[in-house]
Amino acid sequence: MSDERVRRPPPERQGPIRNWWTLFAPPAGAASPGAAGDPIARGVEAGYRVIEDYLRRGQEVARGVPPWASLAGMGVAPPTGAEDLQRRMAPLLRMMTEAATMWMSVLGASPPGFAASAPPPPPGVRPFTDIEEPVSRATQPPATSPPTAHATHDAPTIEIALPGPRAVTVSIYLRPGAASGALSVNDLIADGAGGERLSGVALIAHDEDGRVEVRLPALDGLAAGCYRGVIIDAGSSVARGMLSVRIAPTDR
Amino acid sequence: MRRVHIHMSERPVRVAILGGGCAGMATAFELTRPEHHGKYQVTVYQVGWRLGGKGASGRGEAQRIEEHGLHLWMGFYENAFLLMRQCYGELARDPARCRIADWRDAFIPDPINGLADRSPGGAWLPWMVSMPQFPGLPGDEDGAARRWTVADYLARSLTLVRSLVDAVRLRAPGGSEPTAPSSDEPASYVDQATRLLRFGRLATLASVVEAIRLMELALGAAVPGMPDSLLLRLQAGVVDALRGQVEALTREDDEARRLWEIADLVLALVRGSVRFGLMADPRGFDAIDDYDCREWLQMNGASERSINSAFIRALYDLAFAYEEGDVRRPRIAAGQAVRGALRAFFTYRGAFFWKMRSGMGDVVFAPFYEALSRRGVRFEFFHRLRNLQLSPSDDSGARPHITALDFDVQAHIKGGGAYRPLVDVRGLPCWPSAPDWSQLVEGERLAREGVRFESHWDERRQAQRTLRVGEDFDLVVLALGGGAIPHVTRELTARDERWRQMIDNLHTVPTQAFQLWMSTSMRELGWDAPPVNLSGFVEPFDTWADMSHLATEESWPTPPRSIAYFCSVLPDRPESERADPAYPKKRHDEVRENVVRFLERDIVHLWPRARDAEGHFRWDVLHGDPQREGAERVRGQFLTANVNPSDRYSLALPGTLRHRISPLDDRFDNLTIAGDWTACGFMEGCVEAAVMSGRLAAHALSGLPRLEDIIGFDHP
Repeated sequence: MSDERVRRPPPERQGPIRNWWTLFAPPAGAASPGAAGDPIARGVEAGYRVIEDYLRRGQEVARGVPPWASLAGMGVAPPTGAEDLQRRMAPLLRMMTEAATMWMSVLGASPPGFAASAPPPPPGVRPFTDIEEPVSRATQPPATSPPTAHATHDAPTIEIALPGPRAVTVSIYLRPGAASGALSVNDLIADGAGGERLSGVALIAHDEDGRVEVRLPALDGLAAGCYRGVIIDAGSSVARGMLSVRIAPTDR
Repeated sequence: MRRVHIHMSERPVRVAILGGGCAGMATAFELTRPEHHGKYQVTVYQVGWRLGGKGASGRGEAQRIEEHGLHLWMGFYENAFLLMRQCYGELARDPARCRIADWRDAFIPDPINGLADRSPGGAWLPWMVSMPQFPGLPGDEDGAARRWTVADYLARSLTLVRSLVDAVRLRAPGGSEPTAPSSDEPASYVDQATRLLRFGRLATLASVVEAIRLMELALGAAVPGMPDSLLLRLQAGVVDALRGQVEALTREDDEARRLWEIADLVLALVRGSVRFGLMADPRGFDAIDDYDCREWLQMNGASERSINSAFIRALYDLAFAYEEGDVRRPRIAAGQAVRGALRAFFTYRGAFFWKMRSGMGDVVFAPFYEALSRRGVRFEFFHRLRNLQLSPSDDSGARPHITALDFDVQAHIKGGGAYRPLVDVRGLPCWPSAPDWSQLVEGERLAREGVRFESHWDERRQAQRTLRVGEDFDLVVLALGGGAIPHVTRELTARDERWRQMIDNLHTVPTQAFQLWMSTSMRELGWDAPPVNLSGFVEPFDTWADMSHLATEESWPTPPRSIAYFCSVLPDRPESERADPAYPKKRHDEVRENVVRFLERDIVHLWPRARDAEGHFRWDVLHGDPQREGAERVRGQFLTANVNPSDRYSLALPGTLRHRISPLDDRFDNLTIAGDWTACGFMEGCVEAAVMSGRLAAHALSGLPRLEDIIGFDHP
């Protein structure tokens, strides 16, 4: 299943957010809701303010977390302990979930569609007119020093304990030196709206031989998909990396 | 319980970047930032002797600058300017020794833009527009949060229309009626709009202005306020009123006509955005990418004349937006075209356009080469990529990966060291137009044999080389030009349906360009306006820029008094014809014929004194060998047919963009892609798209830069 190759870290997402507003927005039909006195309009307006507030609070949370901390394989210490990092990330996730849920319940509709409001495509394009010969003329940054040569560390060996027969791809990204401390990993969260959790993943660093053991719980019943979680050095309060587990569909 | 043992190496991750154009350089620059502490060891593999791809330039005779085409940077190229500014900052060149030491030395604001407008009577009328200077500079790291929304753009567009209509109003006889009073209270938008429509108050231009202002306010207020139906009625009322009141005026007044055409286009954009629900569509402008831009504007009310206006022609010209290079088939995806226009007009900083003070290779790629070399990036020149080998398919569900990279080695370097590619032009590191044969093993013989390293059709090689995963590289960035991708990814195309669809929908076209060095000034040729760049002119060369400022950068015994660059799309030929080894020469000869015909027939419309008494172009104004007579003088100028697959321009045709793959896509677990042909958020061939894509590729491999720091990626 795995070999010693370096792989790309799991992608955070694969495309742009074209419309921040519609991350939580109503479908197209409700977007321009008639008169301001309309109850739907009031709901949309109120919801918009709520979302703005959520976004603002999310940004405040994000500002408190160094950019590196959210990145796969990057380990930069947050200002306080690992619990603090987790404590501050959790409300962000919760906010997003709540916001989405609220909109689903308020508006109770599927995402905005294009076909319903779009007129049918017209016939083909014509060339520009008058493309033939013209007839006549009226008249800091970082003034940084280059990085020094990188130190080579002893490379740890990762041992992965896989329960059951389901095909999984495990990707682990650890910063240099990360294997020497006590590690823990948050619940892994599945990509997508459902946000299913993979709990009970354990990381055990064996100081005697430098091994890091990844123990996965039983995966029965978990939906296929990619689950991700941040690896924390419990001793030094540093985000040490990222663990992702991609579970293949059972019919593969 | 199964147990799998993985040895986690902490040696640097070896990244092979295939192609040294804008995208490849951006990726290399990001991956080797000091913040990574040397985690990524980058090697760039490059065909021939110079970096730059479609942006490569070289110094030729008299150290004149020879470009692939005309390159202007737009004021919204935030990512490209950001990296250039950081690159120059890091190089810290000594201004006493190098005349282009800082980015402000390298880029010059170019506020004067021209459109080759055509009057209803058929005359070509250069329309000069001096774009205002906007606050800030492109690439400013001011941390200002940018949240672009469709509604904001529409409100800004309507502000533009309002000022245009106001301008027309003042040109009309007796056109000074006061604007109607109004209220800024959002609650009264509906009442005010209803009143305007009900009582026929759109009978005056002032009331039209007021109606536009109401629409602005409604859109600016974002969600509540005015229902779509009322907004559409108001828009229709404005259009009808303007048609009635302005059309008559435009028959006599070219300026009023131009303003009305733009107003008409913007009003169609507003109407279309409301009708298509773009303000609430999570796809943003992507939602209309299956339509051609002119088609979409017309179906939303733009007039026939407006969609054929100079403004729209320039929009297509700038993007070489002609399917198969056929000027009778203008096509560009509506969403991307609208996105590009809105970014260009409403988000630029400093100047609308920026010109470079030297060749693009000297201003952009020499600094990148120097900065990256200092950071430890290795450059393997004379490496032509042949194939990406893919891992065998299996049933494990694991994603495939690149196992090997096959190259032709075009030349060996004497002593086995690194090739030193730059030449010194009075203190400025520059790229030469030809390789330094003296550094190559058997260089004299290669020169004598006329080896053309950059030609797709010249397959001569000194050796073959295969790099293997785990031994020579870990991760791969495929950063060739879009036209070259199908030639090196046959295994990926055969294995992966999504990749195949992208390849099938990746349309590129050849382009053509020429440069003139002249012994007369532009004024003597009859161009009385300031130096300009101008689009929308007649084919075969629709775009011209006055580049006379480059004369002092070159080393002529007698400097030219003016320099002019032209470019355009080049009609394509069938694949079978392109396989002919004589194909590039045939196309080159064709471009020369185009140049001669263009100078004889068309340029007089811009330069009326470029004709002699007998009505011929004054060939003697061309700088060069006086022994050459007549049109033979063109042989002393520089011209190019960009027909190499990697030099072809990536088109944004309707219905094709959704097939593009993002650099963030991880279907191959050790490969990412970079280039303006990828789904990089801004899918129109340009420097900015390539740099955005390169930054995305770096993010895909390293997590940095953060996606929210790639400016304009999260954009409608």
